[in-house]
Amino acid sequence: MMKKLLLPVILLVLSLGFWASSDFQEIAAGVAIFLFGMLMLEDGFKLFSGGFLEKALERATGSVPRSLGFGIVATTIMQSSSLVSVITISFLSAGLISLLGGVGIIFGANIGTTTGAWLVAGFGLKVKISAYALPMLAISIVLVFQKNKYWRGAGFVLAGLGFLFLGIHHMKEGFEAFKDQFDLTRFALEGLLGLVVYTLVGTAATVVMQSSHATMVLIITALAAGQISYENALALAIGANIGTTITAIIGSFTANYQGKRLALAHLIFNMMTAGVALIFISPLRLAVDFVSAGVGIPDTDYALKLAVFHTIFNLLGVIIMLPLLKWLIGFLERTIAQPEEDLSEPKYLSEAVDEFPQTIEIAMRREVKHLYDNAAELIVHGLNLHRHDLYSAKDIAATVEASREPVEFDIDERYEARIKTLYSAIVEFATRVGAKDMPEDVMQDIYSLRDVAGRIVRAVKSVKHLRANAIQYTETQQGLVTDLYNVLRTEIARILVEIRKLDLADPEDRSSLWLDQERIQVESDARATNSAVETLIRNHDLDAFMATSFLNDSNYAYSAMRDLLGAARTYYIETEDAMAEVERILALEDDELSSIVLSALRDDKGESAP
Amino acid sequence: MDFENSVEKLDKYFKRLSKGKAQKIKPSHVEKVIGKLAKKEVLLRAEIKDTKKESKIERLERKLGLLHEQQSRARWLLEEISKQ
Repeated sequence: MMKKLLLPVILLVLSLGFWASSDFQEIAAGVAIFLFGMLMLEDGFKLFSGGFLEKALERATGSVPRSLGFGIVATTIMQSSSLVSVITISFLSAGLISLLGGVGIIFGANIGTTTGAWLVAGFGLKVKISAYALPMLAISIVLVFQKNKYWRGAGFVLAGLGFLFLGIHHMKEGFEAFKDQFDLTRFALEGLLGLVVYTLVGTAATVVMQSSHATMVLIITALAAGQISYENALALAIGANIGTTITAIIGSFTANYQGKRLALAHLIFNMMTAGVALIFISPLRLAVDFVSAGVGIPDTDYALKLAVFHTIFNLLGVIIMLPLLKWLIGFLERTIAQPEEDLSEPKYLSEAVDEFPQTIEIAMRREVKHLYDNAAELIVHGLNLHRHDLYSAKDIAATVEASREPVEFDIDERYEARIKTLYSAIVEFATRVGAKDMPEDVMQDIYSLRDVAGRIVRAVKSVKHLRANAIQYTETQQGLVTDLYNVLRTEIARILVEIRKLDLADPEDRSSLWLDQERIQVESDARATNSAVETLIRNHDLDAFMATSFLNDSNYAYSAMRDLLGAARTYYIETEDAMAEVERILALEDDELSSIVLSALRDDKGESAP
Repeated sequence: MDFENSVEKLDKYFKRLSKGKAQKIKPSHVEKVIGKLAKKEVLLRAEIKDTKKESKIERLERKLGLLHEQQSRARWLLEEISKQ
């Protein structure tokens, strides 16, 4: 209801304002240009993601002081605490940073955002910044049309800054002219009422504009033009701090439970900071006067004094909350509990990770691993085996032979629930991010991971086909046919064990080349099995009906093995491009595999090579 | 096992590299892969030592044979890359 009413109310207020005053138009246009600049700034910085930004963020969360420092520096550079909080939610959702690190960044962002007030009050109001804005915009458009994404990014950042400057200029001009017609100080409220009302106004303005930076600029320019009282400006600044939490709250709607925890942390932190500032408003004002006098700010320069106030109360919030950080994390974890794991639901592919190449890649990689884990369980159970037995077995063949009791479950239902749903989510995710402007190398990795998922699914389908006979012929010892099916079960189990060994190995030690040994083994076993079955048929040890069933099933089994190995080779190939090139050059091609297997067979038969 | 396929892949890699479509392989990259193969050799030898079943030992020794081929292929690649 509120949502539906908001748009017409805003439009009505704007229309009334435009009708009442042409200067109001200039102020509103200034705000719009400023917000447009913020959007361009965010788009520009996003083009720098996929490298520097993510690496810095990952490293930044090693300790609380580091994450705090990152929040301060990133927000100071990007002039947008909203962008920093959206990036942080995205990284937290992808599991790249810890909740503690994320909260540290948000605290830092609150300090970093105070630099905006300093820039506007200290520079924007004292210099004719529109003179800088126009050349900046002209240069930026040249950069925006460059092919290189970093130049394009720089162009958007420059254009963003240009529009910010232009927006500030129009707000300043608008308020200057406005004061000749209207005296907004008529609406000034003193005492507790003023504090409460203007805090609410500041909150509402920031919720609507979704930028505390824009609200602060509006407050500072109005204050400089004498349109609001200093006292009310302080309350508006406190309200802006509360209102700014809306961005993280909206961002958390599409995030997982960690993202929601972070948004709640942001809200608690800003509410607590605002509460402290409201309660101690008088001592804070004295502190502002003291600091301002100390750094040489004139007593009547209220714009700069507001910047001092903004900094002091945000710093105060961090100082109060830092010792309570552990308590806050505990509270968040209790309030928003980690949902019970549902293996049929994608764990990492939330929309919150969509925005940044690094989070997209990591989330996709983790989701494919999630699919593989589900697939491994289904394959093992499908063959009447248990993972813990296999993974701890010294003799896999003996373990398989001994495992005869059927594992009762509906393989089709499990396939639908735990494989198909995840695979659909993976394909949908790859398609969704493919429609975005992502770097080519990132998209190549995404599509390659999607293909890995496809091979995993094919392997599961193959095992589904052979399950019925594999159970029928291995539940009880039925002679040769049982031995043949046990060989197939053993070989699939061996592949799963080898992939697990690769997964558990230190990434610094392992190589996808390790799996070439298994590929040769699979091809060699496939030929040996065919040859053995032919001999059995010739000798009438196996009837044609059973032999045909087995040959069909062995085709499914070897397809499953090839798909599992293919998927694992792609998944575990080196992530650094040059290292991956080395592995690709050294890896065996399929024709080499065949010639190695044939040559080994000839050696076994004692034939000489042609 | 001959290196025909690897030679072909290396040629294609150099062509891509000259067009700026591949990242330059440094000798340290190949050395790192050689180190990973050496690590696997250690693991395989330990597994062979720990195994009593004849058929399993045979299988592991075949793997070791291929590993040696991979190692000689990697040393050849190191030489080729070092020449650049």
